Amino acid sequence: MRIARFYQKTLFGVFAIIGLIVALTSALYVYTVDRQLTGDFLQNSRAIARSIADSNVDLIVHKNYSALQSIIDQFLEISSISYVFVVDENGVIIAHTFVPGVPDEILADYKDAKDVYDRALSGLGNFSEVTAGILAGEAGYVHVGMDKDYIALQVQTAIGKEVYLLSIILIVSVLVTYGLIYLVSRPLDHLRNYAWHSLSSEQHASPPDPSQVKRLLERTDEVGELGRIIRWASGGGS
Amino acid sequence: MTWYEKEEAHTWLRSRRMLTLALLLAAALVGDPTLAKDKTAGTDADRQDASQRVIRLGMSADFSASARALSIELYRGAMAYLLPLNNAGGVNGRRVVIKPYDDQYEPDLAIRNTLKLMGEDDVFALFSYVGTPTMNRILPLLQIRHDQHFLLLFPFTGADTNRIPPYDQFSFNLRASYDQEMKGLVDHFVAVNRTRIAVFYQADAFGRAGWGGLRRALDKHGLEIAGEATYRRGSPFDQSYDRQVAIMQRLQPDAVVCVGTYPACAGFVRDMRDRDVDCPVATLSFVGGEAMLKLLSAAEQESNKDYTSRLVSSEVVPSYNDDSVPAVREYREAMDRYRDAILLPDSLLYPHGKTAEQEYAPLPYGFISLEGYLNAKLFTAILQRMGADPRRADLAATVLAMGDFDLGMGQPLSFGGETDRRQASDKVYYTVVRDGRFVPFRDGEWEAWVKR
Repeated sequence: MRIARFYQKTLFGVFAIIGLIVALTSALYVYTVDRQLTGDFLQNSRAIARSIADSNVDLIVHKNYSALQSIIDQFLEISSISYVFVVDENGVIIAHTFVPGVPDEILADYKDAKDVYDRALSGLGNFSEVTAGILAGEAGYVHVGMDKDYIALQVQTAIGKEVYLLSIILIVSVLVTYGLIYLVSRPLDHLRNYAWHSLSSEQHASPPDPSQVKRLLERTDEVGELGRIIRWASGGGS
Repeated sequence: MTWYEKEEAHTWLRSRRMLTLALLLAAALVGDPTLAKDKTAGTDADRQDASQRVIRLGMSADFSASARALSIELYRGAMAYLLPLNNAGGVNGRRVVIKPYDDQYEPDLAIRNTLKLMGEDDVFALFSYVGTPTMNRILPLLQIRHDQHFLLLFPFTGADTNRIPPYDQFSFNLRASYDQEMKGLVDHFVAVNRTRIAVFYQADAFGRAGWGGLRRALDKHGLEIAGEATYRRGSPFDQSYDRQVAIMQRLQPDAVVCVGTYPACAGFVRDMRDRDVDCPVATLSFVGGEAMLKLLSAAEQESNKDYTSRLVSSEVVPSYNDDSVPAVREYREAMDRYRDAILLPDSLLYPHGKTAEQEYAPLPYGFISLEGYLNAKLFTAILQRMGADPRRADLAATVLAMGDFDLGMGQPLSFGGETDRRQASDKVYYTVVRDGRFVPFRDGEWEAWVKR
């Protein structure tokens, strides 16, 4: 299936535009989804930290460590939450979910009471950690760590699905455009063949099919009009 | 067969079914009063209890997973007391039966079991639950259903949660608490100049309870925990505990306290000794000493190493080898006599089918079955005080009115009194392994572990 050279640049242009649209849409989608999902994960973790800090003040203040541990253990069932730990007013970690122990990287700086920590824990991965103050930090802090790799995987999965869909749209668009342009360019090819045969003194290898010429000359569009002009120019009458 | 004949046959079948049902119901009402509800009681659940000829106790514990030896032995010990009691007519003509459910040491299953026990089983009380994480999660159910007067009697845990408000009013304990066990261990270690005490614990509510007890005990000496290592609940003996041992190697503690179950603690001790960390190791009563000893002894035979020396276990009941204690003598006789009759049904022990590998070999004696025996004995003593018409609503008041009493344990026990005591015993015992068996570790013997 050959496309007329006349349309090849147009076809390339159309492909380029569709490709650009797909690329720009994907990029925008990646940016939006990444920001949105990461934001949502952070928001959820913050809500969890806040909920532990606010609803278990009595357990924390009365040092009921066992009940506190029962509560924080339940939050580990949420896929994005990798760890939780609670620090008391003296800076002692009074409950946590680490095995085989609290990582050294956390022990080094957990007392800074930052709002968000970006952590790379050796052997465990990369984490975003949010904190919430217990009684505005007076009774300690709750830290909730999210697995960044898990978040990245979720983002990649969402983006992957979108890019997959856009790729399918791109391929279908290319095929459809190619088909349409072929339909447009085929009468031109016939016209070119007819012109060669009618106007050129050179012997044409494959003379046009008379029924094809008849259909060409009967067309009411510009191609038909041009065909009739060629017939007139070749002395075949108007 | 015509339409009429078919209809007649169906009618006859229906009538026969109705008749059978009516007969069964009548038989149940006449023959087994435990199934009959007192119609005069209306909605009063306690009146329903009064009409029961069987006192049902509900037990949710791990009978098939990582801590199953603890639960099975606790149940066997209780049954060793209840079986002859029921054979002799029960208490005031009522048999005392335990309705056991498997929770695999998982809190969510424990909640479901408890709802079933309080609902369709309508038990008289919850009895000898095993484990802190499971108990912590079911205590709120008792509060929610406080109008039905359910109590948790003698759980197999020393955690604080059922010993302090708001849940202390829904529970009674026979055993000393983890705090008391920890205090005793720490006092002894500090007395022999072992002040750098680290902890290896289960990463859950149970482990945290022990951790808290250790922290408080050390605080009284102006000390802090030297360091810690944790493991996941359900970790098996075969697993490597090298990562935890590496932490201990770095810490170089004077002693390590283990707050865990027998498979993990035994695995940790094995790996510690393999890597030449030879400081004394202490375990709490929940560990299941005999099951741990069994694993370590088998490992010793394989590797030709010593895994059982410098190992001390705190216990909340006297040594099961101490024949001078009357309750221990009774217990040993009962365990000998009913050894095969007091095991749980296979459906509970092997929910996924019985295999040779999984088959549970009951222990002849042990601290845990002794505790189960004493739990049942104590419940029976309470039931006897409730007279001919025991009602759930009167249970708490009856226990609190007991004051001082004797179970033959060779130590004073009491409930109630001025402080409304809800824990009968404060006594902690210490045992060490000698010649492949646990023997009492007397106060003077700690001197052998003095740090120079």
